Amino acid sequence: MNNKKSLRQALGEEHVAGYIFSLPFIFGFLMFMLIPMVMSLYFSFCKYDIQNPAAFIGFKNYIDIFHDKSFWKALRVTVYYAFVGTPLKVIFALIVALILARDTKLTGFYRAAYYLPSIIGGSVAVAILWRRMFEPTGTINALLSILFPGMTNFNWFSEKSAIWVLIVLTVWQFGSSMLIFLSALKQINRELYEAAMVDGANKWKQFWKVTLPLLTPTVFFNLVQQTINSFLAFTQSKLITDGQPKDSTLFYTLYVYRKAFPSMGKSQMGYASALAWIMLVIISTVTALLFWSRSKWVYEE
Amino acid sequence: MKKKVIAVVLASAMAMTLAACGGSAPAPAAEEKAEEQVEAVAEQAQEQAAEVAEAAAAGPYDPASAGEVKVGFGWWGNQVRDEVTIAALDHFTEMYPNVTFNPNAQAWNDYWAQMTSFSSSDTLPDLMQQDYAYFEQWVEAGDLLDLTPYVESGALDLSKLPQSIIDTGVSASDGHIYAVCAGMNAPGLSYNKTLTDELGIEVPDNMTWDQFVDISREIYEKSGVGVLWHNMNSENPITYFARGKGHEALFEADGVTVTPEEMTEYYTRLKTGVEEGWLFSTEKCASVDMATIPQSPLVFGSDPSVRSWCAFNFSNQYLAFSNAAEADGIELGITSWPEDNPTQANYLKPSQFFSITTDTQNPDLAVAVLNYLINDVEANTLLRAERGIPANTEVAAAIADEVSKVDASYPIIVNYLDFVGENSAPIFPPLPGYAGTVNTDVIQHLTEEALDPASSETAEDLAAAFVDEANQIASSY
Repeated sequence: MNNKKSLRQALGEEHVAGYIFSLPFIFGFLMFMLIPMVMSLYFSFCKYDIQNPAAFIGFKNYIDIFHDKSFWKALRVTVYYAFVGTPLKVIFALIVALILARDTKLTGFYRAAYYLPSIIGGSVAVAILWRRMFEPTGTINALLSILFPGMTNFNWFSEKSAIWVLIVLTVWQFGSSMLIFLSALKQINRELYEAAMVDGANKWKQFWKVTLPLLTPTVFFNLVQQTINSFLAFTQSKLITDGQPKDSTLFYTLYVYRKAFPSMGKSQMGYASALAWIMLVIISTVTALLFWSRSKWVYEE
Repeated sequence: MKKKVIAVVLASAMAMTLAACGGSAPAPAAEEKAEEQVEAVAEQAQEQAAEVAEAAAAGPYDPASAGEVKVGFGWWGNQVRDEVTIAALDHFTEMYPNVTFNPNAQAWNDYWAQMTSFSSSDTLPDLMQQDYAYFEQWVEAGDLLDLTPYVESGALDLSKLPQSIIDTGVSASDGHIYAVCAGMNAPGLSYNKTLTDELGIEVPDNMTWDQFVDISREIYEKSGVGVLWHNMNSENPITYFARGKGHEALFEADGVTVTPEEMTEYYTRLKTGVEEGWLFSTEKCASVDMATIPQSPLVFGSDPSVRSWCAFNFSNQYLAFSNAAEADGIELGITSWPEDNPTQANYLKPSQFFSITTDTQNPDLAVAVLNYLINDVEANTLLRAERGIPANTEVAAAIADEVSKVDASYPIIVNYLDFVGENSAPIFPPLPGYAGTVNTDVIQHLTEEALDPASSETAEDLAAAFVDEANQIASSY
């Protein structure tokens, strides 16, 4: 009886309750984040093929990576994808947000409709659909051949254009950035526009002088988030192009995956872990640079 | 006294089992001596009696005694294979309602990624499909169950399989059986017979490379239909080429057998094909589906420019290709891959293996299922020889009529294998462990370069790179 009471008392205490409620997160964080990360750091210094025990080899993986042509290729492709795709996506999200910011009866519907691609965008089904659309005899070419009769069977999956198939897909998934822009737009004080109007500023000027400066913190947030997402993109590259042709769409994550789980032969999990840690350093550096640039262009009230 | 009698019976039973296992039976000893021996081993025998009884029970293991269980079974393949395999497994469940299956069907690429991760967490399915090229790697990792004891106890009956086929599942490491051949096949060029008939082109067996080029050129000029090469990361075409040049295999323990001069010829072939237009370029390959049979350019595509008149595959895949071709209203034919010394290059091989993994909870039951898949006529009728002609020769004969009724392609495959049997050389040994890495890290890139008309690399460059890089991977393995 006494015991029970004390257990109830213990559970009633605030910090205990706090730990219990955060237990799912702590468990998930340890099991799926921290422990795997520590393990992968260790494996990155090993020759490890999953099926056999890991053998410590020091910095060999890291040294080999710097001589690995495919690594540099994958890095170039990913950086291109991130630095071209992300700004386009953020700009597109902003434009759509500006259009949908006005309140009409159908605005709610449109917002939901334009957000939809982001929900389903990373999915396997969309990736396969995207591939079908851009195939030589797919929908896109069928439409183009109606508009431009001379144009048939254009190969979108050529070395130069294949990456753009993926960039267009990421731009199409602008929904989450758009929602963040929408809420930020609502928070801009109406009085500022009225004051600008009184000063004779037209809509165009209002956008550049009022809206955009006040949105820069949101632009910054979206840019950071989407840049990181772009570096981590995987599904598109794996399913739509499988890195082809000639590794022109070989995303970094796909390269890591291929090393860890090759379609043939032994896994190079140690090498893949080293690649993943290099990616972590790169993303951290890029994010740090973005934060450093913050003071140069982000307007803080 | 009674106890002693039992011991004698058990001991002699054990002696007989041992003799059977040993192959060479010891000369029958004098009766007195035997009695002494019996006395000596009596105690031991009593201790081992339980084990012997268990081993004897392992022979006629009754799956009905397994209780309610789910047996995992993993394979790679195609839709036809998935359907026939599930049908065969369902039939087993009909006989033993307590045994159900957890089938896990994947495409080739995804299969190995998944199985490798299962292997690290010791959650491999009870039975898994294995490949001739890679099963040694899995034996080495200790993931496959040694089947030799079950063959000896009779639980797994391989008596109707030709010894040469049983041997393909024997690991070089310890001479034990780790895999059983699921079916026989051979490299085969499936081709669009409807198209070649229309154009009045005859596709001969044992084509040389030049004959193949002439035919491909003619088809391309008359119809615009090209040729899709092998998978970019496949060693198969180079192995076949090397055999045509007189090597037994492509890979040896310490590197590749081919010389840069030979490989220059190989890459020149590809470059010429792309220049002349009939061979799919790297970019064109990227725009078509090379992984799934129903979308393969041999049977799919609404424009001649994305169609291939032939597909380099294996004879067992002919069934799935024929099914897909039928949907497209075309008839297929099958012949040997083109090569200059085709009878030297071609070979019969086990299409796949069935193995039991060390993660299985009930090896006896898994063996019973394996035995069913290999030796049961009904099972093999349901499997429709999709994995190749059954290795059990009696079963192969028994299902021929039934399967031919369902699949018009079956007699064609049997004929083709008969032809290959007479026009081929023995198969190369299983690939060394480093070969897979050569496929993904070397062959893929060089093939992409060779098939890229804009590439600045010459055939000589590619050939030298192939030999260098492959040997380097071999030496650092």
